[in-house]
Amino acid sequence: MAMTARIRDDICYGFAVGRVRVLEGRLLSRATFERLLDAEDLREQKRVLAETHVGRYIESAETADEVERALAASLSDLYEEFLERADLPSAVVTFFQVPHDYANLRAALKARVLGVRAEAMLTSLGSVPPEAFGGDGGSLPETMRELLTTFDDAEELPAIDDLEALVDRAMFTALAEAARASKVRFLRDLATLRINLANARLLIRARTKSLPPAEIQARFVPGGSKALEALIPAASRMSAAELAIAIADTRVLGRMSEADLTDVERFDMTADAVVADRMLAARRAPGGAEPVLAYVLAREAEVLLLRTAVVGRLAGLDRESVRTRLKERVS
Amino acid sequence: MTDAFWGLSGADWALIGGGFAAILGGIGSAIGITIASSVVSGIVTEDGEKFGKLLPIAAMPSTQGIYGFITAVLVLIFFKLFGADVQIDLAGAAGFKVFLACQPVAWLCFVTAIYQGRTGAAAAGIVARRGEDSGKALIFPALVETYAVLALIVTVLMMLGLSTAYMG
Repeated sequence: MAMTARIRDDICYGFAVGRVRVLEGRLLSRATFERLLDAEDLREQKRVLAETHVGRYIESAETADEVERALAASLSDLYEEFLERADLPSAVVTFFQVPHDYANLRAALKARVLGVRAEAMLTSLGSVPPEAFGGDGGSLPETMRELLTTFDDAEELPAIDDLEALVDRAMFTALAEAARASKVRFLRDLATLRINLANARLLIRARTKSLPPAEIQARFVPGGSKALEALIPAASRMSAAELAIAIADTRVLGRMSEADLTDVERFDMTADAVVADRMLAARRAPGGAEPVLAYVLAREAEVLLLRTAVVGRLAGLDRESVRTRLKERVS
Repeated sequence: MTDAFWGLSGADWALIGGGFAAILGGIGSAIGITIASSVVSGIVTEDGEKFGKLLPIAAMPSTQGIYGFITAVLVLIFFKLFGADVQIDLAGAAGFKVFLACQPVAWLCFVTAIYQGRTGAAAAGIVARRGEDSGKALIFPALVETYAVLALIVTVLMMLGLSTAYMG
């Protein structure tokens, strides 16, 4: 049975794997990022990027907003040209669209609560068109519509943290569902890792804010490690060091050390690196779904790094600060 | 009519053995070529100049189907089941031994063709990155071929022995 599944995956993903073998050689190198950092201004940065696959998107961008739009367009083409036309299972495509759908939901929900317009913050990278997030979200899927209108009858403004936790929980649940439906082990493992990272972060924050166990449980994302869930009752009573040791002892967070688990900011940086480790291992796989999915994730990560390098400089950050942020992201 | 073995005549067993080798070798080759070709097609979509270097990798699993075909033809020739002087009076037990002699090619070719396709798909990645290493990339799937060739040799030797013993 295992051999049949491997043969099926080899055939199903073979064409996309072949394309990835060529395309991954065109990913931006460390040297390109160094040259981007050394560039004096946006014009010179555009000259550096002109030789790469991002060049055609960014050539006419002049402001930070235009750069953001150009990078979003490059991701949109990746999803359209690569994911959708590579004949990959629809659940795999959904896995990549879910975070964008929920980013839109997050923006729409915040805008709704604060009474401002959300249109400018919405992207078309998800599976749900941005227009669907307007009004009462009548054309949104049931779960998203319910979330969008959750605070409509609230007497006072909800805390942004509560709102974020609600959307995060729904997003990770949808992500785990898409991973399960894809029947791709790598995606299931990746979804579980992301859920564990989200839950570990929640435990660290809950301790800092002394949240009661019932509230932590309500925010806890299902589908992750039971060992982390077992820490809920005692999390708020532990010291930062005790909680860090307890989380590290569960051994579900890869190379995350006790020191990384004492501080949320450091945790976020290491969490990115833990996910990157998993992607790197997948890129080395000789066939199957892993190299294809790792390539898409690498392109997403590349956009994140480009945003830091180009928009960061445009926003007035000095060269060294941008370099530090980039290093933290790729470490 | 000669004695039957498990209800089948010697000619029946020999034909099943030869057919088995041709069918399993063919299925293995078809799957192996599909696996390697799908990756090669993806690479050529992005970099058309690599077609010539990748073609041998995609074609390599086809040899197992040929070995299966050769085995089937040898069964027909050695045991006089083909041509003008057809003899269908092979003893049931002798025919069963011919069937057994076909098994190394049948199974080894089926399995090695699939694995050669998978190895070829991985080796195609080497060519995608460094076109100048296409010679090195060919070596890995070629190593898998060794065992299909050994199976063919074993089958041919067994059939030669059986042919000498039963056909004179």
